[in-house]
Amino acid sequence: MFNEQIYRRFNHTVAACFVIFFLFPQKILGLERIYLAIILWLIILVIEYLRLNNKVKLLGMRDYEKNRVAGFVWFASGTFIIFGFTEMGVFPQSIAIATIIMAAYTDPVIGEANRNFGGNWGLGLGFLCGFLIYLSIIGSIFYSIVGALIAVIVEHPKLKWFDDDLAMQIFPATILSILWLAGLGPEITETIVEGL
Amino acid sequence: MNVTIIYTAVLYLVVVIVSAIFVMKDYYTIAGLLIIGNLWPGLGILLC
Repeated sequence: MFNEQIYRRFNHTVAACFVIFFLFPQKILGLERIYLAIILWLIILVIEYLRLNNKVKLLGMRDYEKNRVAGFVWFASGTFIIFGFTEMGVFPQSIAIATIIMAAYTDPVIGEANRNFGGNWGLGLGFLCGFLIYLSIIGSIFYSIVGALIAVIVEHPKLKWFDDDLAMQIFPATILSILWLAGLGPEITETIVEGL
Repeated sequence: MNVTIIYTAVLYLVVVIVSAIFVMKDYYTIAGLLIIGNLWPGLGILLC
């Protein structure tokens, strides 16, 4: 029996693998690696355009995504925006990697916790998940608390024109980077992964 | 359904390969997170 719910969760958690981008060489076939990300993003947009126009059928879509931009497009957009700002030197790489992995895991954790336990379990377990991921990668309790807190706060509002898959990446990454750039948080390792 | 099985298998492969690359480059924390995070839904699909 095919379980669409688990299938959707797996699609979400696999998105954490996007962080392989930071292992890519700075230049691929003479082009900056960010162009590779842009090409992939454009491919995703084309697939979504075809889906919205009923030219292709994708499995695991929710009913409400039939006539609106799907979650995977929002997630990919958030990830590629983070790639762009990291390549420009605005976001520290450590915050970028932690945020992408955090968003890939925390959103499904919140969804499953809400579905199975109800109440505030989603918020609590989501915060714990985000905190542990930030802590294991960045190693700072301050940034871990702030990042996880922002993630669970922005996950809640359900807006048609702005998805939580995008918000859970952009807001934590931006606010943590501002705190870091302003020197308001403790010092962290900026680059944790070296490209091949 | 067959397409879904193939697609899911490809996703498994992506997780395994990406995790293995991070392990080979000694980035154990990231590799560990990729494995642990995908284990739960990955196994869920496998057991369904």
